Amino acid sequence: MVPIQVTATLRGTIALRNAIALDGLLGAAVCMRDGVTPPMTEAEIACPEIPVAKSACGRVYLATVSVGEAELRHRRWTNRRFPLAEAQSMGAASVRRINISGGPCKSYRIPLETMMLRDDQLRWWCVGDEDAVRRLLTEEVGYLGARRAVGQGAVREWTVERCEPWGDGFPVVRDGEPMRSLPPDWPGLAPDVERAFRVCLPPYWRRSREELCAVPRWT
Amino acid sequence: MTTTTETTPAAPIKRRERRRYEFLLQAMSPIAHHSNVDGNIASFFRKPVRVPGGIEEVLYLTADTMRHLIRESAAYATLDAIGALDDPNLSEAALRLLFAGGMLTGRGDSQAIKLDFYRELVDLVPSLGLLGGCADARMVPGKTVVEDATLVCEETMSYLPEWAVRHASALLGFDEGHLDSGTNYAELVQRVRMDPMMDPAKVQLLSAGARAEVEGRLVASETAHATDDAKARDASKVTMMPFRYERMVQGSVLFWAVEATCHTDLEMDTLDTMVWTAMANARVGGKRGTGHGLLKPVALQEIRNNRPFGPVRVSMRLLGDARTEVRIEDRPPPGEMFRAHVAARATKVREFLQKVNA
Repeated sequence: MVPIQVTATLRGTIALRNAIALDGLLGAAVCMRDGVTPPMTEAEIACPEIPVAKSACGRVYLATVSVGEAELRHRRWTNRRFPLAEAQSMGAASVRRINISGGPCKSYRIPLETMMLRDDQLRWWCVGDEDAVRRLLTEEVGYLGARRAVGQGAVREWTVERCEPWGDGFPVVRDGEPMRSLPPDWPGLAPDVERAFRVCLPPYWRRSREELCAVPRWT
Repeated sequence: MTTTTETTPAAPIKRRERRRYEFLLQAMSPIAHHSNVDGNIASFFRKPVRVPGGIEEVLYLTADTMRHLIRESAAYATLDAIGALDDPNLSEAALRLLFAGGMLTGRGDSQAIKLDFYRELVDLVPSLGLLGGCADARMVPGKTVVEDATLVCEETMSYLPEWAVRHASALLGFDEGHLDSGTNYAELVQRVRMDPMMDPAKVQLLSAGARAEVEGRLVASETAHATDDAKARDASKVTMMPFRYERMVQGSVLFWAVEATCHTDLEMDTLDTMVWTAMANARVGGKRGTGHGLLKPVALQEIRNNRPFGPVRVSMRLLGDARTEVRIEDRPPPGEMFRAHVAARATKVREFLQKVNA
């Protein structure tokens, strides 16, 4: 396990609602690689083995959330229209009246903010197995963020390379600021860090495990 | 008299593969694909693209449009396979599921998620397993990524594979590796919706009362014009409406990619069916009634598990018909397995579509 910097260079815009946790991303990549089916009950939720080191206390993985800056914001829309033409030509006799202003057939046009990142890059730092991380990301992760199904967040290139740690706290604390969600009593944190209810271990969508954490200011 | 036997085939062969198709598409007619209307001018969809020294906006067809295109093709292929195109008799929910992916209606038992139902759903309508959808309080996650169809031009060429730029240069008559600016591919056209009451021959077709009313309005309009009465002029004006819209010029070349993670041979064949039926008659955007939006694939790169598979080519061989442009010797024609699978479950699929809550 060595200090690593991971860089994703994107091909275009990304729909990023929250910063992306590297350990969560690697966990999802392992699930995709192994064909793990989505859990159906709370008891089935498990984080697979990932090639990243855990902290000595075992409370978090030594990996940051993504760091990137928006250079341009762009709005696009998701539209849905009920297939009226098909309803007229292929609907049963019982399909006589369709309400397109409300109910299940309602048409919608939902705005979606996407962004172009400075230098088209997102960065993470971690302590892990360089080759295994590179293999997982390049083979399994082609798109990042939301609306991947319509090509948002397409990755042009993954760069995984060794780096010099920035000192005490690497990689989860930098200059007293948390680089991921951390328990508030984590050593080295500045006293005025931002706090919020978050999950400390992947999967991060497991809201039942939320606890008060010190969180990066950009998340 | 014919009899139909429904059989349960052996369990599908598990074989994980990431399959990606990269297409060069050519606009065989102008394309009208509008994002918004300012005044009476409709603007074409544009997206930001980074170029040396800044960011430019380039015309594109949204991935949602291209995704809908393949979902629609999959729906027609499914209905065709169960022999329902002549008498589809679909419910509102079935229409929503097949053509728009369905939705969580709030009905059904959302507390209990039935894995058997999910498996049955994907077995009966294999395209749902790839594109995703919602049925009976169950959201089926998709496994397909569809990208924007982006104009191939000077601004976008650095983001495209080398083969695509080379093909596009040759197709558009430029030196190899050179293309012109994307701004040259948008044209603004004007059309007028005519008022039939302005045509004396058509006025003759009116009833006596209606003709008198039209003639009275024409007189009122002329009087208002002569007396410079703005209010009366507005009240009596004709309904002719000039409107303008942007369109992508005929012959433009676009780059489009679709990729999916497949786990069985059936899923791979379903992907092929969706993509190839869509490409066989691809029409996108608005103003289709006036011939807009026809796309034709001119080159294809197939990539399996991140590795290019075979040379760049175009194949249009569907269910053994005669649409072959370049022969593929190494694979069976796409769609055979999908069609046989769905046809073998025709009665069940019909029953499912009648009772589905989506």
